[in-house]
Amino acid sequence: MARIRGPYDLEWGNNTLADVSEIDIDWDQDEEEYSTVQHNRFVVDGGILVRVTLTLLRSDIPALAAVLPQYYVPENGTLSTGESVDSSLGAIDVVPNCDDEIRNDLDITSCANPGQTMRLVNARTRISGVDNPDKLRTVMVEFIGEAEGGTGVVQWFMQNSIS
Amino acid sequence: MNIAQSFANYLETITGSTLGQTLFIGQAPSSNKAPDDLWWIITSGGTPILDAVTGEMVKQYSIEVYHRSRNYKSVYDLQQDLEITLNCSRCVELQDFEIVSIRATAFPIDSDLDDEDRKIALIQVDLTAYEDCIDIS
Repeated sequence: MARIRGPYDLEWGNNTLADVSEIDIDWDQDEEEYSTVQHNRFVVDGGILVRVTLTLLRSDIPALAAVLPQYYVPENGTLSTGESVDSSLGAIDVVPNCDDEIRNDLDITSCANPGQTMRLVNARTRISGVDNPDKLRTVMVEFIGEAEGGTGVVQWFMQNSIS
Repeated sequence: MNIAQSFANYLETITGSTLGQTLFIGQAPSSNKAPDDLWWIITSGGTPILDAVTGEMVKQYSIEVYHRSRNYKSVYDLQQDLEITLNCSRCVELQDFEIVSIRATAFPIDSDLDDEDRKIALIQVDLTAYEDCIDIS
């Protein structure tokens, strides 16, 4: 048995996520509680929703484009307000639109050789907040695991041990 | 590039000094041939004040900037100019370091122990920098 510790390697799809100051995991499971006339109580488990919020220290356009591709506008693209994007870095244009959701597994791999990976299956992303402590802007990005029916919500396995 | 070299390069641009001639790292040269008007810096720190879960850090450095000259007013004026420049600099860029904040404090002018006709000014610079923990050379 071993303790699982960081620093962690984070990957979402083919993107390696660096410069993350905080990982916050919110685990929520539906349940129904029943009582019998014999005074027994039962809890029936329901669906599980797991959200992982990453606080990004590096919140420049390429970093945001990697985790929020649905908002990315490339060079020569057009912003929702009509302006053309002239920078090679492109731009981020946060337009609420559920049609362009991109889903990938979020892998959080611990520090070891090999490490152990915690996978949030089929996670989509959205911004959950922006902060500016000590003049360093941080962006909180929420990964919402929405596994398809019959598949796991969260998985743990040894790094590179599944195929 | 380490913090001393990187800050010295920045100091050259705002003081008009030249590294190795009128600006030095670590100490003022002891040679009598060294000019009276000199700058030198001493750095310390590298204390992590924020650890990212992915391994990167925000670090705190302390840099002491000394300036000496025989002219008290010149020493004082340059010290005050540098303090204002550093504190009012909106977006300092140092090579290999991403500066989060920079703060400067001016201390009283003192006499040079090696030559009492010479005056020395000290400015302490507290510098917060973001680092990727990549190899520096």
